[in-house]
Amino acid sequence: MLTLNQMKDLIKTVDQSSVDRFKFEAEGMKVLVEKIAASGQSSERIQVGETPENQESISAAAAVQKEKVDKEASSSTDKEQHRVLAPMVGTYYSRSNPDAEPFVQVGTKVEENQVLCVLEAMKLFNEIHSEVSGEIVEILAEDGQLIEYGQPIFVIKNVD
Amino acid sequence: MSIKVERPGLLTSLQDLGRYGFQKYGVIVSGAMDAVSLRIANLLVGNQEGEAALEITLVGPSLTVKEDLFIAITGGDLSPQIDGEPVPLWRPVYVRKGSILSFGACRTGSRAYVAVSGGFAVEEVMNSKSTYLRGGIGGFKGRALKAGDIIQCNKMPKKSEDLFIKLKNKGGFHPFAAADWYVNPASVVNIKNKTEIRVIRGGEFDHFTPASQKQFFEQEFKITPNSDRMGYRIEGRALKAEESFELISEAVSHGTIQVPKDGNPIILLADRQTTGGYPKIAQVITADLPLIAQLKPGEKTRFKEITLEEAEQLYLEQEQKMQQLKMGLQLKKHKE
Amino acid sequence: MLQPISGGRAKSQMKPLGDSAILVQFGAEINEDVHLRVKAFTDYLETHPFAGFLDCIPAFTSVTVFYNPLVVRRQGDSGSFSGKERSPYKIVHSILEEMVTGLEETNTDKWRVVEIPVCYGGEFGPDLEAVARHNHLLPSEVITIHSEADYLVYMIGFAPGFPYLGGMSEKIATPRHTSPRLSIPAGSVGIACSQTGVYPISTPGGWQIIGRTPADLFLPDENPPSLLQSGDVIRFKPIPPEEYKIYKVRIYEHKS
Repeated sequence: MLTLNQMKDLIKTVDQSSVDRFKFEAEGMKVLVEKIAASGQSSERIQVGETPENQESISAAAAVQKEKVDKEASSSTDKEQHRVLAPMVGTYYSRSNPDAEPFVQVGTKVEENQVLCVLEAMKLFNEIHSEVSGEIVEILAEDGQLIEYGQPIFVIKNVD
Repeated sequence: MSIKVERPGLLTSLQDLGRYGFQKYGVIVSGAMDAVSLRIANLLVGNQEGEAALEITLVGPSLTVKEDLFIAITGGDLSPQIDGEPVPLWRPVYVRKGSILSFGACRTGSRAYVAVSGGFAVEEVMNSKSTYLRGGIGGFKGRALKAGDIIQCNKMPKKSEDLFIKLKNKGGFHPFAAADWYVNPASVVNIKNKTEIRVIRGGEFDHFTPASQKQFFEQEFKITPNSDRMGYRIEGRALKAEESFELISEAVSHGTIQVPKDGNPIILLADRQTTGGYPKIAQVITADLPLIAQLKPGEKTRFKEITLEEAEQLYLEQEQKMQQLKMGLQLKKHKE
Repeated sequence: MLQPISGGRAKSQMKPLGDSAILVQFGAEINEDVHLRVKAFTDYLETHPFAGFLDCIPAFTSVTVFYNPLVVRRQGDSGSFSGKERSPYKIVHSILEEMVTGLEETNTDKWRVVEIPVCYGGEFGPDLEAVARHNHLLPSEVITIHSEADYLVYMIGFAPGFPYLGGMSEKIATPRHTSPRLSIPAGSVGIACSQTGVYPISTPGGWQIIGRTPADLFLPDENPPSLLQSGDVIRFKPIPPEEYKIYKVRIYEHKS
């Protein structure tokens, strides 16, 4: 069974993804998360049931309102500086495992496509790649911190 | 689709989650030593979690991929490489036709799993594709892989095609391409704890001398080279059961720690016999069985006692993490 | 030799075998009464499996039941089982306790007699002479004693299809070889102390080999994959070497 927190995570993850409807079924458990667009706002509905006949609908419709992130605007606030925004909700990790060196530190020169950090969501670790080459001037997250969708994680200075 | 075995490695066999329901006929369970790694490998390529995959032991094989393939490698880090280039573990990987998947030094753990999307095309014997090595049944011709074997693979499931094509495009003329996301096994299995395996008391714990009961939890045991899929023989100061104690043969299970007359315990594993007559001092909890599977000869471990209720809780928590992983992957598939 | 279960039995005991199996003990010594309870319980369990039941192993005096704790717990959560028990072990414990109590009513009045052809001595039974010498008998007397008894299959274990048999005469009991042979061919019939058995697959072993059967005891392509089952009665039928290739296993269903 899903815990309340897992359900919240699930709603959040779906909400911030491009997925509109997510259905999951395993061993007698059924979960349906659906975005319903209503008057310009998107809201969500989550359904959880033990068996197909016994489906309960927990409505979280009002609870979640999607915050539109204007990616283009925020990623080019400055010509010299580039902000790397989280493409998803997840827990921030600066290294691949506790004993490893961090992927980058302030001052690290990075290439386009280089791995900067990983974000963990639902036991999956997603590498976040740099979209530009340059130098890391600021790291805006700490290990273990929950990062929201669209939240800036790094500031990279354009060196050329 | 097929792969050809150039070199077989030390012991490479097909294993799934085991052959249940026939133990009363003396047919052993077999199956993956590290079931969690096997399940994750399958989930990464869109298979049912219990599909059969290659279990690779200490020295890996060399395999030629005959057609484009979609695979995942999990478990111990046996330095997998494709055409000489290191391949990351715990990720979906596209492998280009004609490439060679091989393994190098055993860096961590001792067993790796290679799952292919769609699974290997072998017949089930008694509801399982696991290789029963001594019985000569199941898996690929009832035996470990040999040089020259050609193993057919099934068609990949529809739900895996999008990610496969995406990775194939990313790979271009490169021999392989890995996804930019992965599973961290430490988030499912307590890897940090591998030198302190958690156990509950065995059925005959009380029949060991008080000194031996104490010693069992205090001393360090060394995994001897005389360890295989049937069981690990471990060595420490010899343990003693009461002189007069005789046990009538009864069932044993995955993780049972029994103590023969010489006093050195045996941890029974995937290819254990169904029954045994030695007193059982302890039982490795299910959640820690993957840790045992990844220990190699020469390594040392200790045992820590917990209660049955704690063991059950740890198992249920591990399964819950697997459940979250499955959901996460489901979401990924939708997004790709 | 086999009687239906009669009343007045000792209470069974249960204990965990790890976090996903439970051992149900029906007695402290090997005898036919305990064996019949083991068999009756196994039969009942297999025809009435509970949610989460995986497998079971009947042995001389016990049955071990394997289950999936996750499935058991979910059933517990959904209220399919009585009570509010959270521990999968305790849930299974109470289910099995109920089954054991209900067993009083079950009678086992059917069994099979399996006749296994054996070619004694010669190349098939290299140790026949040694067994005869050890017991001051003629080889032909060993054959007669070995083949005129009825043997009860208490359990199958050690190897696929290998029967643990009860009922061999002490007159032909012989200790094991001090160092085991590296490979004993499948079908070999042997003696170790006061036990006799048949090797279903080729394996190393120290038993005194007195003959060989052409019958296959391990049948991986059939269901069940074993010629013999716990509770069967077996008889060894001496055959001459020329019949080795044209043998037939005979199975008689017995009803009382």
